[in-house]
Amino acid sequence: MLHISYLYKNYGKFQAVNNLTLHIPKGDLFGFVGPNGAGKTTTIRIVCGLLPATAGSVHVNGIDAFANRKEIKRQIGYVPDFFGVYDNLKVKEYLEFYGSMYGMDSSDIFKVADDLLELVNLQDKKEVYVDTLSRGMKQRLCVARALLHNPQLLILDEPSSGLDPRARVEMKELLMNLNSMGKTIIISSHILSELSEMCTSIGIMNRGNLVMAGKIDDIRDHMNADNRIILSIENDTEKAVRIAKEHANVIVHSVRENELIISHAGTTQELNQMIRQMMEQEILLSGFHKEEGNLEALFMQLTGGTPE
Amino acid sequence: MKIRLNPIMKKDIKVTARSMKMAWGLMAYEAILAFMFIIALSILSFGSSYNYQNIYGELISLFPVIGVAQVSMTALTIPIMTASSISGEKERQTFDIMLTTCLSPGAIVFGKVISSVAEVMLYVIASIPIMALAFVLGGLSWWTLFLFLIVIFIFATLAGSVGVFCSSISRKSIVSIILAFVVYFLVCFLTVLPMIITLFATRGDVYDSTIFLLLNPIVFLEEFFMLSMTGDSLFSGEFISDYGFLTGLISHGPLWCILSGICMLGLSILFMLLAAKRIDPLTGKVKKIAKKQPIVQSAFIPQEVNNVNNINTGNEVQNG
Repeated sequence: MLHISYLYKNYGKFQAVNNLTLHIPKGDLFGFVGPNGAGKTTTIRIVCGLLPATAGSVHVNGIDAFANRKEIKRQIGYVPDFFGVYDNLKVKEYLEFYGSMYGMDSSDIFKVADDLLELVNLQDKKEVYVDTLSRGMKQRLCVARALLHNPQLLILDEPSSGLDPRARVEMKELLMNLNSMGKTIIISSHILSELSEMCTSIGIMNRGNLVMAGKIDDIRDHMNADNRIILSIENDTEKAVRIAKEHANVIVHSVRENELIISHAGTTQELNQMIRQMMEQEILLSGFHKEEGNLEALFMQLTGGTPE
Repeated sequence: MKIRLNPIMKKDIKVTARSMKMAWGLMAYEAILAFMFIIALSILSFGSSYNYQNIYGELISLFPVIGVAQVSMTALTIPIMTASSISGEKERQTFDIMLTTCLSPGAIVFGKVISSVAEVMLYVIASIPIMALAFVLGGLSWWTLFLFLIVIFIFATLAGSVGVFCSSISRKSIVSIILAFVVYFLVCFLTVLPMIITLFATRGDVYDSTIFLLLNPIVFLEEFFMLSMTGDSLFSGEFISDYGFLTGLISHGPLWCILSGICMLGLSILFMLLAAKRIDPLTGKVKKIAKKQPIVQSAFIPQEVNNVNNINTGNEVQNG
């Protein structure tokens, strides 16, 4: 569905997007995640035709986005990170306005608008002025607006920013519902937990580079395959580290006050032997468990920051 | 065939018509015009005694007064109205969404200009009862009133396109408004400049440097009012006499006004095209890169998002 190849965007000497290549298949719910300034919004704006790329190419449904701009606009529905609504318009007029900007007839717009308002749960707000809607409602209205021309690809830039928890849940349900209807959706966010709950794939960007991309389940499996073990130690952590390092198949990842994180590539017997050795040398082990694949930890590692 | 109205124009007119600003603006416009009419009438009738012979002349003189007042108010209000048209959308954060729709930048600019011209025309049409006082005794024809509306339309289109052009340059409405007045002043000044330079260089003759006056909105209005009131012209000899052959060909009768109107509409189109080019986000060419290795090779080898692509830690990415 979306095919980005060797995309670059420079602002003077600053590289906002650096050699980005990404393929998103049809029907995917793709989460674009990264810290602020990672290049997510820049990439989205280039795909939507709001920003020229320095180099590279973008294809949507096989159509060159830079050569066939009008056609591409029909393929994409864009929801920016702000509401972008006119306060002096009623909800149905707002949709009519955007529908007419896509060249739709008024009768068609109203027919589609009714269905969309039902989909986003705003059917009873048709005659209401947009400025009287809550933030969550405005955001859902923006999604309805982006779907008016029945685009194949829906792109949402930080759709949950500024929304209360309930509105976030409603937004999440709406997007999952749209995805189940066959829409390909790209969501940009810096809130990984939110994306990990609904996305089928994610891509992590940092400083203009796509540092990782893949199916979310594969990523989890991969992280679990790392075989990390957390040992909770009550007395002599240094001694425990020394014992662990004596074993060839053990890698010590980090040492905290009462915690030792290791990964083990050897057999279970070898691991048992290491634990026994620690206990024989009077190290008080109060906990011993396998670390679960944590996306936020991975995000932190890849971006060198703290996930929100 | 179904006529499709420009959606921007439709929306802008709807939004403007709903706001109280429109009602207050209309009231203020009519009040100022009525006030000026009364003042002008008082001045004209001061010391004169009306009878069936002189009343025509007195009341007809009110036409240019009201006309110039209307034009002045249009000249003041249009840049203010249009200068916030694009920058206002940017401030409201609706502009990006607009650009992602199928409407071309040219259609967006055209819609913005036409909606502001329509608003001004509403003010002018609403003032026809006041204008009609100058026509009531048949001193001026309805045809002149119709021509006046066309002149105002051309003038408003030029002022509007200048305003929208300035709005496309600046992100802030207040800067756009100031810029619009500056550009408008420059249009008026630069079209007179060749004539002034020629006048000083030749010590009296202007030759065909007066051709540039075709683009001057003030000369356009002046010619229209002189022609409709007295049938006279700026080029009749009293004001400018030693002009060139080309000016001599077009400066008699209504031809000058027609050509000037066409030139100003052309200038308006030029400003609209510049504004459209300005708001078009993809004006530059994008380099096509056939194949190039990703810079962070160890971190991610581009492939379809079906499998995990080389998951590495942050340290490894930096080292790679």
